[in-house]
Amino acid sequence: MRAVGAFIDVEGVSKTYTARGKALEALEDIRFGVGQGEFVAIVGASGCGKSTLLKIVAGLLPPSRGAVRVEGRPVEGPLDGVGIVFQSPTLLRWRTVLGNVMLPGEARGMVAGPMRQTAVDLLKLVGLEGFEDRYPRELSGGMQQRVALSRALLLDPQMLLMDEPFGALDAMTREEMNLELLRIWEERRKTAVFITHSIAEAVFLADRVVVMTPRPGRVRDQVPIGLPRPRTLATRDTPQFTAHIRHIREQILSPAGTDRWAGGA
Amino acid sequence: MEAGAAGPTPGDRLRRLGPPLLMFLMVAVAWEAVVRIVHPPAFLLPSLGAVARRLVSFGPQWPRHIWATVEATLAGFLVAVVFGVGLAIPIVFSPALSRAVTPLLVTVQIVPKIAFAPFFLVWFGLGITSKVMVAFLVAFFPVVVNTAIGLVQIEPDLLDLARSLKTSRVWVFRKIRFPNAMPYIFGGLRVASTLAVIGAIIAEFVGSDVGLGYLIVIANNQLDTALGLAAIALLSAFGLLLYGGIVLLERLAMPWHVRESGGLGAAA
Repeated sequence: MRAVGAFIDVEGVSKTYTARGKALEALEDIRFGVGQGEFVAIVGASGCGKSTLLKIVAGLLPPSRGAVRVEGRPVEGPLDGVGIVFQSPTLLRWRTVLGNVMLPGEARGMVAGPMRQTAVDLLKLVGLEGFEDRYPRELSGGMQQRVALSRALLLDPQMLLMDEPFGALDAMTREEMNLELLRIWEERRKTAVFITHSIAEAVFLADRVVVMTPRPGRVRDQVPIGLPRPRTLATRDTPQFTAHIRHIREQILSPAGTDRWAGGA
Repeated sequence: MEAGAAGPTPGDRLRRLGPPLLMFLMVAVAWEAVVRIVHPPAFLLPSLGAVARRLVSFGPQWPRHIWATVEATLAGFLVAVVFGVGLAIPIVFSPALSRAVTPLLVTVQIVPKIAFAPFFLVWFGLGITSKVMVAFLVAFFPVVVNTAIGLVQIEPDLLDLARSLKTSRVWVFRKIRFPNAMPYIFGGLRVASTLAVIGAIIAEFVGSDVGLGYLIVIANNQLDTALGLAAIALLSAFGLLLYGGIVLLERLAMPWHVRESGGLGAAA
């Protein structure tokens, strides 16, 4: 299933933590690829190492074994050309919305003028025109994540890494954000890796779903999602959608060697 | 979409200020009632009016005493802020220094530093130096501790974000860590400002020839209770002004910050 020469190659990545003298295996021999412009969702129960995996892909955490390659080059530190959206919006509360979006540019010492225009355009793209001078605390959770998404897109990264970005939102806002994300992704065509514990969210968004099982985190299956794009709320009512969800749920609940599964916590 | 809260109307303000003002008034009335009904000797409890008259009659002598206390307090406070913030930053960034210094800081935190005041008198003499040192010593710890906590209390994801931006540690400190710590630092400054006043006064109690604390001791010795209470009133006014100044500075420095406010009941 692994795409040879894909844009992102995860090659046998393992991660072992040492806690109180005991080695704890968080990830074991993870292999998958992400093609250029592809949207891959990684789904699994809490504690299966999804976030750890994303950090390894972003170059924020070194793997214990194995390697990640992006365009054939091994990742050895924080990557260029990557936009990250975290579970919490991680906005600087002392900066305005616009100031937050411009942060990555400032860190790179970019010229304020053109960058400002890019930031304004991005805020328009995510539907926050007119909120440039507000402070984060004045925005709802969904709006804050839109700001975080704009910030991740500022430097026009080739890939977008998202770690349960909508996990803290209520169900309705979450559906709305899913639609927004697809609209933006279809417009910008970034290579996207999206972590979630919601099977429905993964199926709705992705071209391919990587199913992970916990303790240690392993890839159980990779499921291509053939649902036509653009996807709408009606997509969720199709039999294919339901069938994908059922299949993935079964993969998560009854992995090979059932004794390994010890609950979702 | 939530908008920012609208400003308070005059009616709101009256409703907020009314009850506390009424409480102050009731204390004053009770005080006057006790004086008029019980007729205690003036050295035990002078009337409010007598205190006010003493405040006026002492008139031209106030400024040098007020200035002496204000000067020592402000100097001690400022030195505490500079050294407190200045020490917290290397502590946070050097694990070795942190391991070395933290136990000492915690230990000294427990020591009642005011108890050192008599020694400071011996070491630094009757002048302003010993007052500044006592004010500094008591104001220093909340500044160090709060600053250090503020610099460490940061969302882990925010640090990952900073790392993904591949920028320098100095940039991350200036743009992320330090502003993030500001609410904590200002919390420390608020506490430190009230402690600095206490430190300066105690130093004046112990040994000094000028200042509001000195005046309180003298007034007490001469059974001039009205003068002592008048000095305390001025001291309170100064403490309030200093605290208010820091709150104002805080608002100017952090317009984005909303501090939880409300009475003690709100915390329950």
